[in-house]
Amino acid sequence: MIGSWAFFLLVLDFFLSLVFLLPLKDYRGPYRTFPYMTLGLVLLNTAVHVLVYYVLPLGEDAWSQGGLMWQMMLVPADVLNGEGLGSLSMITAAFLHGSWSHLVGNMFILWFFGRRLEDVLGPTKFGLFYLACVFVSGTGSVLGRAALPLTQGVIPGLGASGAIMGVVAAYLFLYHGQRILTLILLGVIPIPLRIPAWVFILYTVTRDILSGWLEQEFQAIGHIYSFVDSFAHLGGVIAGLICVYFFLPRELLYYRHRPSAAPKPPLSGKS
Amino acid sequence: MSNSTQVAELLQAGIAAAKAGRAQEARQALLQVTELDERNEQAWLWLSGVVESLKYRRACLENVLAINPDNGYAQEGLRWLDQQSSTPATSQERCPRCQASIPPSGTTCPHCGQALIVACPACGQYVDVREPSCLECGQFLGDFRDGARYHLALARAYLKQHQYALSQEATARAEAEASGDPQVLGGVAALHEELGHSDLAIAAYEQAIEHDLGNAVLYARLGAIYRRRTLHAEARVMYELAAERAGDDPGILFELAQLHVEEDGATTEARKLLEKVVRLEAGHAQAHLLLGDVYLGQQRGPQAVQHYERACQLTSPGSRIGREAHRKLGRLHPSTPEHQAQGWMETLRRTSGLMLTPALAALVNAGLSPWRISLAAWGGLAVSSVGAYLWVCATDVPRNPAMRRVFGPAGVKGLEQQALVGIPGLVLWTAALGLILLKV
Repeated sequence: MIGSWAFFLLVLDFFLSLVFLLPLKDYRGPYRTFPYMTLGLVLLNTAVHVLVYYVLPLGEDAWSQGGLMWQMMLVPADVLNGEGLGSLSMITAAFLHGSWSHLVGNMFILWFFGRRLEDVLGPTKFGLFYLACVFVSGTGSVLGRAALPLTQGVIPGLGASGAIMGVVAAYLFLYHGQRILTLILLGVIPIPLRIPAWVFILYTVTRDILSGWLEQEFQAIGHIYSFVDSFAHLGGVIAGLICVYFFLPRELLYYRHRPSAAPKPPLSGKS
Repeated sequence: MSNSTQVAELLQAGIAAAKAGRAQEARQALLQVTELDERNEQAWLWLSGVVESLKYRRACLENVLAINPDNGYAQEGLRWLDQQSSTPATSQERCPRCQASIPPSGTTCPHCGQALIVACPACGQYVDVREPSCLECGQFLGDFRDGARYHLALARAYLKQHQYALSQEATARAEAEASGDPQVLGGVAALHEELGHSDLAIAAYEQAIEHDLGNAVLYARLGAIYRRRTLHAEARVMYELAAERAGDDPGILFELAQLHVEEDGATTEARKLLEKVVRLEAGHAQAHLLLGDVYLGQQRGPQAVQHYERACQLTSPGSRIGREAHRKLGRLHPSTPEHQAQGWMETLRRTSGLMLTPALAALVNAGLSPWRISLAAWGGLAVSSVGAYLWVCATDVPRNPAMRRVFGPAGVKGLEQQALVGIPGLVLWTAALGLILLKV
């Protein structure tokens, strides 16, 4: 039996699961550049999905019939034991998705937040940032899932959501007060509302923390609560907040918090 | 609806209200009838029964008799009034201003033009001009002896209640009685402006300026009308005259600066004016926003950022200025502060970002135990750090101390030098990462 505290969290998670947030518009005006890297990542993820689910199964060998896919997924136990693809599987797993809805959901969020970030970082840096987020969130996933009492990191993980959460967290770092027109689905009731960016991420992080916690509680009594990799999501948030510091142009960091430090305009003289 | 039908309906409604004891409603309806048809005997007669003062009652009955001298009710009513009051009747009614005798039902003195009754701006009831407040609703009306100012205040009150015809009438009366008072004329002009009569407003402002050559606000208001009419030269003259007289008024200076920007773009003159505005009023968000535009137009990005940031701080993100400032700020990429661009810390920060991936890859391959990282992986990390450093030198921190030593004070400059440093860097970094990932 789970404790009363866990039961409370379970109820809370249930109610939160009735709410679905779909960002629609962020009112930050037009983009400065075309989002080559974001688009590239979306296309690459889609191509890998098609390849893995529709092209590979055409082959008859064991490699085609799931062997390769298994190798590409992130298995924390294997990573810690130095087996399989090791750290490479963090990259490969980040381009795999379990279903079309998984892929579309992730790519939608990447497209929504990634374009804004790419506008600030530029395509190359955004690509490197994304790669760093893949690794930090992957590490979070390995650490979190390996510590689960029941599965002990043997269940393979896949999906870009960890890295995408990094992108969302970086967006929050840059534009925390920005209002986002969000379609809030309360069960089946759609409510379009302009909510601050921090509310969006707070909701997501809360759900991930609850989910991770409940996973621990349930596995302690021999059950699996959810197959959603909350640890990768949380790792992604941390990744985003860490990585954005290393990748953001200094001037944005600098003037953002010290507007008075910008060079003073001369009050006279020729312009 | 025809006039006669309207009169009949109003009369019927007034009589019904009077019979039902709803005196105020009856008064309003019957007064409207008398306005539409001043020779309506029935309306005057019923009105005499619902007005509040004996004086008005007498006036109503006299009007009835003026229309029909044989009206028995009116004759009887007047006789009763005579008994009630020792005040002699109409012959002694005098204009409050010129003291000439006036007809009982007149609205204006035929001798001096003084208004004798005014409509209350709050309830619409007609009130004797001598009353300081409306008898019906208690609305303060002022002292009619103030003349133009009294009518000006009424005109403003009417405008507030969207009673445009009454406001216009009161404005005209105020203008007629202004007799060169610049304050009244300024007020009259402002009312004309609000009522949409800019020609009349211009004339009134010009007249006001003639009587008060030192009033900066009058020049500025006139300038604003010229500006709206895109008469920029005239507007500029007016604003400059205003600025000469009130050089410390941020509002006037800002409008002049706006005009400069509209006409000539981001000029030094506009910049100086705006700098003065923000010096005088540090919280003038719109001035900060415009100053940001001017700096941007003068290719001075960091200063533009500073003022856009200030405008953002002073406004809420949802407001028009706030939104605009955020949008403009988002589009700007100010250059890195020079002491940062030339320092080691910035180079280290950038290189660390690139090193996150190979470092984590090596750590994960070692089962998250740093002591298990292989020698090859350490070598890979060393190579990738050199690659990352070179890439950062070519792209982000071209003037770090080492690059300045190698390439001179400008550091890595030009596509050729960037390629010379950056491409080997990228190759080294990618190759080392590949080696680590593949556990070579």
